[in-house]
Amino acid sequence: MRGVTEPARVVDIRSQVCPMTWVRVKLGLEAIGAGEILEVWMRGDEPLRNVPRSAAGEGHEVVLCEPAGDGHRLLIRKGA
Amino acid sequence: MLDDLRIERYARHILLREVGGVGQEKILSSTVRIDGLSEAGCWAATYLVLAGVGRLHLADPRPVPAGGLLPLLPAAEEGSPRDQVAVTALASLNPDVVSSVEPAGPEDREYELVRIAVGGRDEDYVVATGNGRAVGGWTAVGSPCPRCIGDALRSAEGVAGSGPAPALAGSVAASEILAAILQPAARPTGLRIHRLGEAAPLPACTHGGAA
Amino acid sequence: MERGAKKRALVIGAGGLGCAVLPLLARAGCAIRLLDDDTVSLSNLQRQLLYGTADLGRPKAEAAAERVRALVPGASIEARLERLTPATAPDLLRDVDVVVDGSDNFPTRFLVNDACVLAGIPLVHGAILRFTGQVMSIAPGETACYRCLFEEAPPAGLVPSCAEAGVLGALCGIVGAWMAWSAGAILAGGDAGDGLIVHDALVGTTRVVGLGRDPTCAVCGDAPAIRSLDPARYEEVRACEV
Repeated sequence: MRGVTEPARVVDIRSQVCPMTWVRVKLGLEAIGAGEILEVWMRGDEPLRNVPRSAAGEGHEVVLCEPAGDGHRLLIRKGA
Repeated sequence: MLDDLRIERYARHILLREVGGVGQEKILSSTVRIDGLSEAGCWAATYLVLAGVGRLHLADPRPVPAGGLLPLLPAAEEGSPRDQVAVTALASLNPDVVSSVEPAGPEDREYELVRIAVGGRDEDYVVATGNGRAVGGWTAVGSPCPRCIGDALRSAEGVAGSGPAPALAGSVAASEILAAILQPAARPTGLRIHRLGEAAPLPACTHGGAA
Repeated sequence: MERGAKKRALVIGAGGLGCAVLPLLARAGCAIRLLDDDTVSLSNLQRQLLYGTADLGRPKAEAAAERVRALVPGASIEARLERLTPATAPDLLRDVDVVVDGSDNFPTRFLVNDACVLAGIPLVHGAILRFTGQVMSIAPGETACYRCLFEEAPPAGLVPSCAEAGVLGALCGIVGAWMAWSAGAILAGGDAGDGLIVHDALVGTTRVVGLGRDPTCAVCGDAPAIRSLDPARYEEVRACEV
């Protein structure tokens, strides 16, 4: 199995409320380079619905989305 | 520069693809000078401050008129210097913006003139209001022809009963300036008269140009 | 209540658009009934110019009315901490000469439109999203109504996500000014046109899209299917408060 690159940054939005969930992820993506990975820890339905969709909409790739703890863990590769 | 409070305050700007945290920081680092706090100038100053323009220099020592000036100077401040009242009012809207009172002030014209200079740009943004009408736009060099402006503000082609004309012109000014700060490429120059709907360019100047 | 000659506007929403249009309507001498059940939050302050840092947590309708009275002494503004519902619409629309809708969600826009068309009250609709603003004046039965143009609310999955909910604050002033302009034209007995005004603040252009009443419209057409305000038609889609 191909390994996934170590995340360049981790953002924990489990205590955030929409729309600050996506805002924080977006700022995290701005802080890393193209091709690098942002790891996101989130909880609840809203970010699960909105964050991957918003990331894809801005040209980023959701590499992984899996249940983790009481929420989900996301790995996003920053687009060009 | 973007702490938790700012991230929340400017969230609706940061969400814009063309802005983001990077763009919001550009806005927070920018400097704008406004000469002339007519009503249009007040609308422009208000939206620029709400957006987080970092430093705002205001110049207009004229007294606040009876009835105040929308949307910023309350009627109770009638008689006090406009720029000083504006600095206080703007601070309560957004503590991130540092506003100060500067010398000089509006040019003496038959109409109300606001001149807005944006740090790092050659062109000024100018708004002229009078007779219920408004003209605005980026000026290429120097002063726009006062006779052309006067004619446009008197013209029958404007929209009668245009109480909101200064609000429209001032808000367009703020949006133009924010767009210029975010994307510094040249904006189309030239004055336009505001109407309900489209803004129409002024006819070519036949008075020998700038004054 | 004595009506007299004073015109009355029902303003829906004291958000970005409401904040811009309220002082203009008040200065024009219009009596105002304002509806908003929300409180001021920090991310509102980027564009809702009637509120400052000291107003955080206050009910918007109350804070807005207070600020409008400070800006326009003698302003007649009735603040109601509620939202428009199918049940309350007929009462709230009573003795109103124009409705100015600055709401920010589709179910409310459709409810306001239908209520105005059914009651025969002119409506000014405004909306902002990202760098674009739009205004539309509706004279029921004469011009296009909101449903002529947009038929029905988009399904939940197509509602803009938070990522698309960014907005340039100064747009509120632009659209608010047009809304006040249109409302003024209607109140003066004149014509506010039959078109959609659209402004793109990124490019700096404005255009007017001519409309026209759709004779097959479900609420204002020749054989309307909508003849009452059925609550099921306006169910709220959960939206983020920004």
